[in-house]
Amino acid sequence: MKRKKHTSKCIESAIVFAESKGWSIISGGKSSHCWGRMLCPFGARNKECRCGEFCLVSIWGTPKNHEQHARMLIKAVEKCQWRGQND
Amino acid sequence: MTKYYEFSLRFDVSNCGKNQDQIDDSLFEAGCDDALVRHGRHGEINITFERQSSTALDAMQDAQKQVLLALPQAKLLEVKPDFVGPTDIARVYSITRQRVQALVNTKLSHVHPFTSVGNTQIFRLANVIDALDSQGRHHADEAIREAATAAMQLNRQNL
Repeated sequence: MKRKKHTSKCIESAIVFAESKGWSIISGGKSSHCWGRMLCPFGARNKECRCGEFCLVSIWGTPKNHEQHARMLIKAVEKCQWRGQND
Repeated sequence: MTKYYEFSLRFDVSNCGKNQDQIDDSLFEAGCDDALVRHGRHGEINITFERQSSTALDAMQDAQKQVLLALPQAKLLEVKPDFVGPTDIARVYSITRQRVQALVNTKLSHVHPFTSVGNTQIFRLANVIDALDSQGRHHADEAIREAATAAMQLNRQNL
């Protein structure tokens, strides 16, 4: 099933960027403010993943500042040390 | 004058009796709607902030208060950026890890590592920045220097 789009354009493009790097997007469950969560593709598979402890990142539905939130999401993907090895 | 400070707080939330959804909602409602919340495997969360404030210490203490308001049972484990290895130092200065290793053997030889894990030396970022600043060749962003100093101060109080 195709996932629903985030209503904020800049956050949606950050999510698309994360997906292009292999991250998967899961639903925010019963949370009212968390739109969804992005899951690192390497954390579960690779025990050596340094940041594997924190590879479930919450995406707000209505953050205080959409641009800043989008930027922080992109940074989280770019900081992953396994990125680049499978690109 | 205010600056933007980037820092992270790591908390043990295993005693809060809340699931991930409830944790996210509590944090959002307590004012962390500008933060990036990352969930760990073992009841830990890591919250990254990019906040405007007059000092880094104020920004970190305000953020910590908000988190504790949302999750009173949460236990602060670490404030970042403080403990760093060569890879992290390389990222702060936008240089290669090899260059950092060379600096550790020359300009940074008088800076004692906090500890070593395996073959990796762990430093306090504030000490590294001060040492390199006094040598006059490498300048880190002033906001990063302040954040590293404030993080070291808070970690000394908490750890």
